[in-house]
Amino acid sequence: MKTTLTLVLLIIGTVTLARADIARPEPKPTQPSPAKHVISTGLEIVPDSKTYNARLQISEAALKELRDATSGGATTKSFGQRITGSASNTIVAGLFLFLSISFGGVWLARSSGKTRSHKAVAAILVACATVSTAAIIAQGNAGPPPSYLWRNLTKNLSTGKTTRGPIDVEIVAEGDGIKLIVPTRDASRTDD
Amino acid sequence: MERTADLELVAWRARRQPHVQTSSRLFVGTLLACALVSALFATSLPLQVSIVTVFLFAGPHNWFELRYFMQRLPVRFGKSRNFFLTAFGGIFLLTVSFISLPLWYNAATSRGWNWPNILAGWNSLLILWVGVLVWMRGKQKLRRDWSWAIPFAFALISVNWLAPQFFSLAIVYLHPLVALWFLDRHLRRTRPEWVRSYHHCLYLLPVLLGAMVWYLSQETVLPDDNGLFWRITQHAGAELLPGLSPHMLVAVHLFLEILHYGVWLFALPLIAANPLETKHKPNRAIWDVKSVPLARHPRGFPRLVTLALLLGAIVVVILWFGFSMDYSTTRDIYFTLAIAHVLAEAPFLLRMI
Repeated sequence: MKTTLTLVLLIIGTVTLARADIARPEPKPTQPSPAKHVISTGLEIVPDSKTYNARLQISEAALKELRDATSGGATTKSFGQRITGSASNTIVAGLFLFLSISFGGVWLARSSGKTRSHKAVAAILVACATVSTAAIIAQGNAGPPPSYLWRNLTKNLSTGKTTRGPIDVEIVAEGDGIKLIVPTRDASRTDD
Repeated sequence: MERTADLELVAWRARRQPHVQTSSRLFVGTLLACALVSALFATSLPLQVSIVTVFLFAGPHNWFELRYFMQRLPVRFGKSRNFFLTAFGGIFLLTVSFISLPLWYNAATSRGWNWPNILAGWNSLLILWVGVLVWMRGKQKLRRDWSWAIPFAFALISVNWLAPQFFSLAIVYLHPLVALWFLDRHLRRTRPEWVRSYHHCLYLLPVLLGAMVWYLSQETVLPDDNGLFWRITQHAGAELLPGLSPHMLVAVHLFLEILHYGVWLFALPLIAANPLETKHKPNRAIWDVKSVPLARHPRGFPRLVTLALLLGAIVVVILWFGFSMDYSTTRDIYFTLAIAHVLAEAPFLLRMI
């Protein structure tokens, strides 16, 4: 019994020592802080054979929007989040939606003994109000992806044509200067 | 006696049938040709055609609308007094507040107010005004209950507060289509035999628009490097919709505007009153004040109508002069003041429904 107990203690002690000798795990590389989305606007890339230096032109309106967005704290909100994220607008919109459903309900109740068409109109009304609001909140991805408008960039650059498409302005912690990242997917690809 | 009258009517209808078919075909052919040519011009040279179109037709089409609305005004408001008071009061207040919006914009930017909220407020007043007009018009009709207009208006106001700038842009695109509704109501009264053909022509509109969107969505940008071109593309919503081709936006908006001008300047004046009604009454020239019932009626206001039409004509000439001197500024002023005619269309269209 004593021998067994001694062996167990020896094994436990050895294992503890052995585990203590395991090298410490490599520290995980620090993830770069995510880019903060500031504004969504349009970008125009104009090849110009007459100019000697690359120039970045920003309209006054875009600059003001950019300044406002950065001074108010850069956000990562999308369009849908922006419109639903505005507290005052959402409150007013909700108030009028409430009024709409209330008045619609009263109208439906008053006209319940009249015609079926009234009920149909009321149902459409309530459905429209609900679906339209829900559609905006759900941020339905309408329209082609942004990369679609940039698909001819390479060709346009070589032929000297202007290309325009949507752009998200982001602020990143690393690097210096300004970096332009443009999707250059093959226009013939249809898998994505 | 009655049978004799019926026999005469049947004979008259039989004689008239080939003429109706021919005139209907001519009407459809003209409409289709105009729509196709307009779409072609708007697609190929949107900025240039936009400048020329606004220069030539913007002012005159407002004069024709003024004349048309005065033709629709009753000599005495009677039971419609409240409807017209609400209509004219709303047109005045909404126009004045719309003109003052640039001042509000400056105040908003300097004091840190939320500009879209101010826009949403104006849009809300507009929707509420139209909703009340629909409700009041519905009360004048015995067999119809249009009380749904109020909850519907509230629902629209709710959506407007979520995206006020997009709502304003929607008005820019939807307003030209109202002219097509006016034409429909006018045809029902004066040329009912053309209504069916006209509706068939309307089916072509979404097809043409779809074709334009499909063809132009792949187009490169428009040259908006000068102030005027930039204004035109902004008016069409290029800044609000950066993901869409500005060429396509300007072309679609221009196409709808050309249709709008075409209806007011050519279609409505050329389609005279019902041939049966005008059989014994000669058609009067458009510049003849007596063509307006409000001036022709014994208890009417011929001097007021003359003055209004004369002032309108002077404004048209001033607009042409302004466009010649400084196109960009005149265009801005015109599209600000033109909100009055956009608003005026609502009550007069309701009166025709």
